[in-house]
Amino acid sequence: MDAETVISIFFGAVLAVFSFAVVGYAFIHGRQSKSDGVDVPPESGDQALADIFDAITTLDLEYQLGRMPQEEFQAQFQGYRMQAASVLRDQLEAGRGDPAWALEQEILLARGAQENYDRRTIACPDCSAAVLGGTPACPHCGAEMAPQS
Amino acid sequence: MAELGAISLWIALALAAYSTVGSVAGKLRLSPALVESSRSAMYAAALALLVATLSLIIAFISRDFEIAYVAAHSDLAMPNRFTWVAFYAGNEGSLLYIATILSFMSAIAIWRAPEKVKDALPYTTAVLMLTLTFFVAVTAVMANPFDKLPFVPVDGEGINPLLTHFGMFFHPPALMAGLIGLTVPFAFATGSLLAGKTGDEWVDAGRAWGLISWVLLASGLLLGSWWAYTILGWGGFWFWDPVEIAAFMPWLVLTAFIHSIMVQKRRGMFRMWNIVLINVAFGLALYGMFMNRGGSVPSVHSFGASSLGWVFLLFLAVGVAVPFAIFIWRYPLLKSARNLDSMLSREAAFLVNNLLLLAIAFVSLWGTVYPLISRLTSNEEITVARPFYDQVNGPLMLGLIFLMGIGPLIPWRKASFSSLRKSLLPPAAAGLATVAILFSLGLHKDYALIAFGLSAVVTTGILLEWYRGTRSRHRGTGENYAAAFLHLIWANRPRYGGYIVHLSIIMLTLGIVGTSFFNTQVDVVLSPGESVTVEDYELVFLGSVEIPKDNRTEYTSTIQVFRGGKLLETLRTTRAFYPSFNMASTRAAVRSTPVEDLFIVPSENLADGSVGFRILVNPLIWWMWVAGPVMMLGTVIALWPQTVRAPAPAPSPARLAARPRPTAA
Repeated sequence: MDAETVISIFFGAVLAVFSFAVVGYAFIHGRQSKSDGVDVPPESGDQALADIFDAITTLDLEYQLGRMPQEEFQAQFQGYRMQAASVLRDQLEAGRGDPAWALEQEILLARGAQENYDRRTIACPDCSAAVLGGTPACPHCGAEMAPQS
Repeated sequence: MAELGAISLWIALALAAYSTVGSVAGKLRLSPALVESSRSAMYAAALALLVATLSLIIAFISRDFEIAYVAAHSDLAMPNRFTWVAFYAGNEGSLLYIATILSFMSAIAIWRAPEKVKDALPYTTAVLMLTLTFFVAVTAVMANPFDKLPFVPVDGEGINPLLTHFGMFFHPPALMAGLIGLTVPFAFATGSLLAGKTGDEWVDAGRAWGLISWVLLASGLLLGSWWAYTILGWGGFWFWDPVEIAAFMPWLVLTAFIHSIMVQKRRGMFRMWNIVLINVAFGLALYGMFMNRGGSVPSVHSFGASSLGWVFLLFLAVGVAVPFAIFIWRYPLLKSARNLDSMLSREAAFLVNNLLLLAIAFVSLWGTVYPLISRLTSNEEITVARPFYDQVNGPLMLGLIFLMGIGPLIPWRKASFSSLRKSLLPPAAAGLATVAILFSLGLHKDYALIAFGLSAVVTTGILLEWYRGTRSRHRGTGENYAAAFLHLIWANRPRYGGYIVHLSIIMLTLGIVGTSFFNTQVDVVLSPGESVTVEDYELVFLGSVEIPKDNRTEYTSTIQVFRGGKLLETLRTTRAFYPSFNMASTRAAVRSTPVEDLFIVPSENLADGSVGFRILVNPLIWWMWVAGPVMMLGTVIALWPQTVRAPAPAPSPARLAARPRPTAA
């Protein structure tokens, strides 16, 4: 048996011992991973909120680009608002999250939706499409909107 | 090194098998320690396979010809830079490569798995490790790259000359990684089903890993085309070879998957459909691996004299049957959150896009298996070739490009005719104008006209989207146009990354249509000093030089290229003969511009000094090779984690993230 073979077998044995130690570590320490899938804590909801933000951003872009009527936009936005509120409530019920922060987010969402309902629509001077008041440019044709009196 | 490599391989096999069994047992017996231990075994398996891989690389570098695999795929004349290529040049090394890549992808996927799939992770780990167990077992038992010869040869047999090309550094590994990478989204889907998580939990991980596999397959296919174009000497880039198709089919189904998974992510729809798609894609990936390891259809890509066919066929059968059994078991729970609101919606466009992609995949599969079916039914083997695929797949692909143009312009849920008219009018006008201009310029080929027109529709649609979005940002925020454009893309990376990928597909279309419909080919024998005119090029053959090398004889021919009496370039093209392989390999001389390629390749060097040349003028093919990097850029942008949670701009009331969340509990 030449030296290279001996060294190879030695390192192979080291690898085997190391692997055995890695596999046995969880048993020796009785360690329970936070993410082992057996005793999973309730989902934090942060990802769900992020997804809702993401969806709202896309929804808004669709609306801004004139691909969606205003009523549709408002209906979908309201749906997302309810989803977000539900996630925030779940977080609070699970004893996680800052109640004051969650409450504030709910109020902001509700207020935003209410503002949206309250804003009057005006006709675009260029293409006559119905556009929410306060929008700087028409989402349908891009024309600048005249300031409201 | 052979011993260390072999020991590592067996350790990896034990770890992968333990991880498979331990993950399921730990989950079922509610033993967190066992689940954790199984996951650690998965990481350790990746380490063991890395050691095995390094052992083989070192064996190649040190030219350890005692190892049969090293002796069969390298020799003393092989430059060290081709060690990487020699590593996966044969069945044994490529299986080790596949196992190593799968182990690392699995480790990263599980390590970075999103919180919402944690409940299903033990099953996901089990699926990944079961697949890894299969590959490592086949490698260790049936195709061990560390098997020794009974004697030590003085020199090896050498690397296949066709593999000594830059493209080979990436083409096979990208394709193999893409095929095996499909296991990851498949494992997330199957793991979720097994855990009873039949909602949208696995969607983010599935989409991300689906995209990674998709771009690996796409770059592998493109690099393979480029390799064929520059080295094989026939001037083409796609042969509809069974193994090419075997890699193309999972790519098609993955393309359908990464589109329809967006619908599930956004709208909670297509839940069953996405499971079916990822199962089909995984099955086709296994079919691809079966095809080049002993499949019964002959191919230039197959590993010669492989006896692994039946093992892969068995694994293919299990890999198709079991996932569909799980799907049927969980079928009652797989209800979508919503139904299709209207056929005039983006969801519907995605659905039609999916059906077209599957139709192309099915046609390609049919063409691949038809020789077998004809042999079984009539004792006569009938093979189908390019005309079949062109005639059937051509119109389907045009339909896909059409959908690529209008799909992104249709809103979710339901489109009104008026909004659709406004969105589609400018792209449609651009398409018609392109057709009219090309027709008036004398281009009268139907398919080409339609393809160019549709390409104009897609490009105009994308550019208009960018323009509108940029202008909106510019007006809303006061940013200059460049900053507004970059921020627009960064703010919605999946969407705009997807647009960039669509542009790269248009580039591919230009290359394919230009070359397929408008190329010129001339085969000519020239003596030194003679010239030939091809299109508006005049080519003067100056002569050929014979250069003996260690393992081959090279003939380098020099040609001057003139246009309008003006010297454009002096090109050199090489043909090399390898006596030990009884094989010739060529290096084409290519003068490449965005308008057209001038392609010259020597087909034969005659004793009197004259040379047979194949000369081609390939219009627009340059765009095909540029499409690769553009496609990768788009995919990276689409994949880049979306960490910015900025509120939507006015008039959206989404001010939820207007202030950062306080850290104090």
